[in-house]
Amino acid sequence: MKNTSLIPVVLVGFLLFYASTDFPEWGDPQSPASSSPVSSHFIAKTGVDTEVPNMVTAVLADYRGFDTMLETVVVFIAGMAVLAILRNFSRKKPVKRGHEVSVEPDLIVTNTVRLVVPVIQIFSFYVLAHGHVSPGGGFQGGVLMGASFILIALSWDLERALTRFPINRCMVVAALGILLYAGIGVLSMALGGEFLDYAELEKVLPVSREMARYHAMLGVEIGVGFTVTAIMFALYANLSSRGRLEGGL
Amino acid sequence: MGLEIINTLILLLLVVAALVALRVKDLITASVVFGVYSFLMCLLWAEMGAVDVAFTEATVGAGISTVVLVATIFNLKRKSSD
Amino acid sequence: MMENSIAWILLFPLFGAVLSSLLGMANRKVCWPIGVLSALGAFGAGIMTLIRVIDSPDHMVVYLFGGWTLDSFPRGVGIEFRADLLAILITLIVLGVGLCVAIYSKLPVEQETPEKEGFFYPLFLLQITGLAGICLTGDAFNLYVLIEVAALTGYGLIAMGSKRAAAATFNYVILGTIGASLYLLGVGYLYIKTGTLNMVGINEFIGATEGLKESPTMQVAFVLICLGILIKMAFFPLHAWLPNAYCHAPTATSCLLAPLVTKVMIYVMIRMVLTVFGVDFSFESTLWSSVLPWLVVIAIVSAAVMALAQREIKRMLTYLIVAEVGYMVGGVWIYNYYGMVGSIFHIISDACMTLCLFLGAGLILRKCKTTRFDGLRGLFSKMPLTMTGFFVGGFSIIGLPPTCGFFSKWYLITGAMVAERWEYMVALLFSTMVMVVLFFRLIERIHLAVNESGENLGKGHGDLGLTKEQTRFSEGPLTMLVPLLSAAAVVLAIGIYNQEFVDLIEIFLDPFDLPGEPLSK
Repeated sequence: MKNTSLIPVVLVGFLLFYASTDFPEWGDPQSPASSSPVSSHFIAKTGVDTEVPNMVTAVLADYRGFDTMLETVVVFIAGMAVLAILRNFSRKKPVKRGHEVSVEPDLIVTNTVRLVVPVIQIFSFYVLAHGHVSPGGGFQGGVLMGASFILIALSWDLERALTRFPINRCMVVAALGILLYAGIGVLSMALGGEFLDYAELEKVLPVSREMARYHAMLGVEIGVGFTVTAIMFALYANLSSRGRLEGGL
Repeated sequence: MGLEIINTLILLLLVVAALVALRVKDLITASVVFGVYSFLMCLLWAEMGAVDVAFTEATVGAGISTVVLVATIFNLKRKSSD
Repeated sequence: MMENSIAWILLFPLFGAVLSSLLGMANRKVCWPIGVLSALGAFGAGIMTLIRVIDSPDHMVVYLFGGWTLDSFPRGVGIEFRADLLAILITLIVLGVGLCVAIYSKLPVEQETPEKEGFFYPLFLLQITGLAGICLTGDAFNLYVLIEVAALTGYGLIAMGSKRAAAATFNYVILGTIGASLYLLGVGYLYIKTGTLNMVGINEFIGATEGLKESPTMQVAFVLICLGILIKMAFFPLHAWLPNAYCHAPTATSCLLAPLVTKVMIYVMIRMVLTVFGVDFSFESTLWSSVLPWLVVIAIVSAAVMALAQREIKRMLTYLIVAEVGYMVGGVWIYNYYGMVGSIFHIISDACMTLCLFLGAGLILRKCKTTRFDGLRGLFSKMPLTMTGFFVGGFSIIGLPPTCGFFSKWYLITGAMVAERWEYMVALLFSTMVMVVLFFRLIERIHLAVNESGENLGKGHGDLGLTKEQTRFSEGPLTMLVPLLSAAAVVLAIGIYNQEFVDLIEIFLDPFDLPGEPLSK
């Protein structure tokens, strides 16, 4: 069995090598991807269109904002699906896992986490809010925020993390994140533009069309951050406890 | 020239990490090696100038997904059968 | 409202999903009404878009997200949705099936996945969002994201079923992820060579650049994209995930996924072949087009034979889906005008008839607690309406006039004859014969008193060996029966008004210059 599965792997590997024989030179400015009108527009006009210095954020949240909205929805679906599969409403007595041992949380670990978690959370806010000018944005900020809760769950136990962020609140926050993202899109539609045409928000914001895009991108990133934070933690909480939401790792 | 050497080194390590993740019997080890793999990818992105991608890879690939994998494996059999 | 109708097709189910997950936590009872209403809203937006598409001079409605209009920005800066006639027809099928199943799902969901409505309906609605988006999008990467939306919701919806559903889903997850990754790799290569992700942009670039058609990278990109889509549509040697996943899934899930997922993927293939890579590249510059028609023959024949071996309705239907996928892939790759018309028409009719069959199977399962052939005796007197609906779907799969299956198969066979692909025609006729056997065996099981092993259970003529109690009229609940009967009505209506549909498809195919196109056009 193992050897038969090697055949398609080698075949696909061969295909990939064959394809790479015709690649443009690495970093070639004449290659289609570098010289196409789309990438030249991104490079030359991002600042003009949106006032955002970080081109990647502008492409992600504005030019291709619809993709990013759907990516957020994908994250939401992942959380939903894991909950739907694992969540057990029958309230049967749980089976104890073989390796489970009950020890007190370690003093050194917990105290370190106590120090580290606030720093991580503040850093995640920074990453989220500073995504316009430096690497970062909603996804990374949200993941960092979710990681801080996972850290609490790892060093004490799941209950302690869940008292701070109950699973139902997770799903509410996740849904609100999408609602915020799509809501900004619908608001710009109601103001006369297309879906996600942030420039139309100038009618309600006291700024220019370009700055309206800039600020709407922040709103959108916050929505992404909400969803990602909540789902990352919900995923961990459900997967580590088979959906029972109790006990340590 | 210096970059080329680093590039090749990272790519070689990537292949090694991928093979190790396939070969080890202990699934926890495999998921940690996946974390290593992601981190090497992150270095590669950063070195190629795609800092945003590198950041995402570091947080999601090397961070969260390793934790989630390990947390899941704790609820399963730890040894892989092949 | 009117100019944003394309966006509303996706936004209705999206907001419905978010609302039903929020409100479903407080009260599970509101999930179903929200699901039905948003499916209805999306369907309304779809109809509105269809009217706009037919009214517009070039039969095309373009919608650019984020206001990155084509006149002030280069094409491909923003994300474009293009509703041409093909796209909007398939979208309407998706939305119509979604609406039908949304109404139908009330009782099965309460029964099979108790207390999980708050998870089921969000996933259900997002599935509709994903599938409708796949049909409408004009951007190769956006297509990937939407495929992911549809796939992930599919995994969740299927795995909510029994214990065995979870195991089947695992296979699906692995194969589905491989398929999606291959597609993504292909899109990446395409971007390297063309520098844009917009479908029209890619097509224009391929047409305008010398030597691009012979480039290995383009060839590999094409193969990878096709391979990824073939896995996703469960083409025969790659179909392993489908039968188990759809058999063990909850009823409402299989009713939604079985008619749609494979057909939408065939639509993606047609879109890739016709509007992204272009007819010249797809059919004349690749090895693919000489290999695939033969694979299709193997696929149809083996899927039909495997369907013959099944003793259970749902499992038999899943193999029929695999055989039908073979029909449609064959119709595309015989490279003929009529084949293409037949393929597109068959997507529409196959979605409707599969819906019929699965809705009927769900009702049978609810009433008889089994879908094995042995438990079907006397069903016609017990639930005549259900069985009528079910067999309308069955006759359409066989291809009896005036159901829509007859006309689509007619075009496929015409295409095979004009292109002189006799092997494909033989495979089609063979599998038609198999389907005749399958459905008449079902009728026999229902009307005769003989069980699978040939033992006679009745006492003489007309006696089924059942008590009065067992054959008394007892139809399924109305929320399930009405969708089934309307689906059956649609199957007949599409059959009767087939010329209107074919006209629309011909308008769509007009600019592509396929061989065998009638000269009068």
